[in-house]
Amino acid sequence: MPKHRKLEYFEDQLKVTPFGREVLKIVQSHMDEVMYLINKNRPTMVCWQRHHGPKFIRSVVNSGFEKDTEFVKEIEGVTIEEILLNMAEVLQDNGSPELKNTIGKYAALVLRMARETNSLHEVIQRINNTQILQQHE
Amino acid sequence: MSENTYIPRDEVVDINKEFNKVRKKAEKELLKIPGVIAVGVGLKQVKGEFKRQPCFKVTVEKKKSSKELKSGEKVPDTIFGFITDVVEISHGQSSVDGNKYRPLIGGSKIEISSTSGYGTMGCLATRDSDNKIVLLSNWHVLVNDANSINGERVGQPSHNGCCSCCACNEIGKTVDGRLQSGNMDAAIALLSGQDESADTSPSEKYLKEILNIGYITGSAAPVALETVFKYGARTEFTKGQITNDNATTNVLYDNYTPNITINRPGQLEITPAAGFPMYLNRGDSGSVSVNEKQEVIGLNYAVNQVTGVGFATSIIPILATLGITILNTTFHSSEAGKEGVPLSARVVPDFNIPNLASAFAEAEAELGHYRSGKKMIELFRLHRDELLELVNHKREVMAAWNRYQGPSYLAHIARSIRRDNKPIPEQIKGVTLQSLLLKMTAVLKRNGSPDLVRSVTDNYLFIMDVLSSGMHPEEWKAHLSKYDQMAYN
Repeated sequence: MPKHRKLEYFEDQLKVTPFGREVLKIVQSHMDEVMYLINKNRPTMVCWQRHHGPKFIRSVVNSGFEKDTEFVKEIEGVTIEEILLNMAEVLQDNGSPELKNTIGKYAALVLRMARETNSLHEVIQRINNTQILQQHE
Repeated sequence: MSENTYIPRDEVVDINKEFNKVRKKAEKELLKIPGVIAVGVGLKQVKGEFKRQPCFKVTVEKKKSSKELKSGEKVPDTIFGFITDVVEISHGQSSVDGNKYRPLIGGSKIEISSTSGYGTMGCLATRDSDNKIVLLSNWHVLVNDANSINGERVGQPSHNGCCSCCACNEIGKTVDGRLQSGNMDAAIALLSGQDESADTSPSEKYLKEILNIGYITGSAAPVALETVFKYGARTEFTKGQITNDNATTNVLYDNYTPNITINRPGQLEITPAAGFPMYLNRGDSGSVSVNEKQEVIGLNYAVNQVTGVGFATSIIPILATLGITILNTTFHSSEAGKEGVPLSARVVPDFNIPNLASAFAEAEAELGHYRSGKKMIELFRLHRDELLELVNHKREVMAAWNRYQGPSYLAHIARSIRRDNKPIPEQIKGVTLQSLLLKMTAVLKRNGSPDLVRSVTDNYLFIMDVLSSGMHPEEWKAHLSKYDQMAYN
C-alpha cells in the first residue's frame, strides 16, 4: 500500500472520536517540525538512527492493519520505550517551545501505551476508548 | 509580537545562508538609493506587527509616502528574490534586583562610586593580555564621564562611595572602554583581589554564569532572526528575537552633562517575545544577550521605551576591541570540592534550605498516609545520596536540572506544601513540570547506577502520573488515594 494511503487509513480510524481527532490534530500540527528535526537537526538525527528509528516506525505502521500483527518491542537491545523516551528528550531539547509543551503533556501517555500495548491497532483502539471513558466520567 | 515568529535555530542558520548568498550584492544595490543608510536581515513588519517572514531590512533616514518619493528613490519590494521592509532609523534611550550576589554572577545590579544610577553586570571575561578577570558592561554604566575613564570604582549591588570595600560592596575598578568611538558602548572593570599581594583569590568570588540563564558556553556572532535571552537588574529575565541585524540607532545619553546623542550603525534590534512587554528597560544596560546555545551574542545598551525593543552591539567587535574572552565554562577552576556547582543550585534568593528540608519532612508525613506515597518516600530515601551527588556534580544531570528549571520547581513545590497549598506554576520560563520530569528521567537513566536506573525505569511513569494529575499538592494526594483504591483494594 502506498505511504499516503497508509496515513489516510490511520487518519480515518482516529477521526471517529473526539479524542482521536484531538490526537490527530496534535500530530498534524507538529509533523513538519518533527520531520525537519529528524532530517536536519544533528542531535535528533543521531538519536533517531542510533535507536533504530526507521526500523521501529516501519514495524509500528505495519502493526496497524492486522489485529494479529504486533510491533517489535526491542531491536538490537533498544526497547521501544527507550527510543520514545530518548526521542522525546531530544525533541524537547531542540524543538520549538510549542513542541516542547506538547511533548511534556503527552509523553507519559505515549510511553505508557508503548509499554502496555502490542500493536498500533491496539493503540488506536485505546485512544478511542479513552474518549468513551472520559465521556462516562 | 502578536504572531508566533519563533524559528528553530537550525532553520535560522539555513535562512541566513540563503540571504548571505546575495547580501553583499543587495546591499550595494540598495545603498545606491538616496536616503538608504543600512541594509540588514530581519523580520517583515506589517502595521507595527512582526510576521514570520524573513526579509532585507532597509533602514532610511525618514520614511516617505510613495507620492513624496521621486523616481529612483523607491526601495523595490523584492531584491534578488527576497522581499524588503523599509524602516526608519531607531531612536533609543540608554537603559539603567537589587540583591547582593556572592559569588558574583552575570545579570546582577552594579553601581559606580561617583553616581547614583545603576546598571547590570553583563558577564565575566578574561583580559587577553594578562588573563585577569574582568566584568563586562556598558561605558555609560561603568564610567561617569562621556569622554574619559577616571578610575571609577564598581560596587555590587551598590557603592556608597566610601573607601572601605567591606562597607561599600566594591568589587572592581573600571579600566577600559569605548563610548564615542568604536561603534559601541562597552567597558570593562578589573575584578578586585587579583594582585599578588592580595589575600583573596577571585575564583572564590565569582561564577561564570548569568542569573536565571545559567552557564554560558562562550561567545558567537549573532544571527538574524534567532531567539535570545537576557537577565538584567531591572526587568530581570526576558526573551526576544533579533528582528534586524543591521539597525542604526540614535541614542540619547541623558546621564551625562551636557546630554549627548550618539549615532551607531550595524546594531542588533531585539524585539520582545510574546509575554514580555519590554526586552530591556533602564537599569538593564550592560546585560548581555544569550542565544539558545547559551552563547553570548551581544551587549545590550539601549531601549525604545515606547515599543520595548532593545538594542545591542554584536559581541564580536567588543571582544576584539577590548581584548577580552568570555569565560566559557560552568566549572570553578581552582576550588577543590566546588567544581561544577552552578549558582542557580546554590544562590537563588528564595531558596532557603532549612525551609526546603522542613517542607520535605512535611511532604513525607503527608505521603505516608498512602501506600503508593510510602513507596515514593522509600524510593527517594534509597537513592537520595546518589541523586544529590548527580544533581550537584555530574555535568549532564546538573545542566539538565538547571536548564529545565529544577531548582525553581523544587522551591515552588516546597513553598506550596508549606504555604496554603498554593498551586505550582504551569510553566516556569517556558518549561513545564512534565518536561522537567521527562528530561530528568532520560538523564538519570544515562548517568545513574544500575540500581537507580532500575528504580527510575520501574517508577517514572507512576511519578509522572502523580505530578501531572494537577498543580496542587491536594490534587496529588487525591491521585495517590485513587491509585491506592485501584491497586490495593
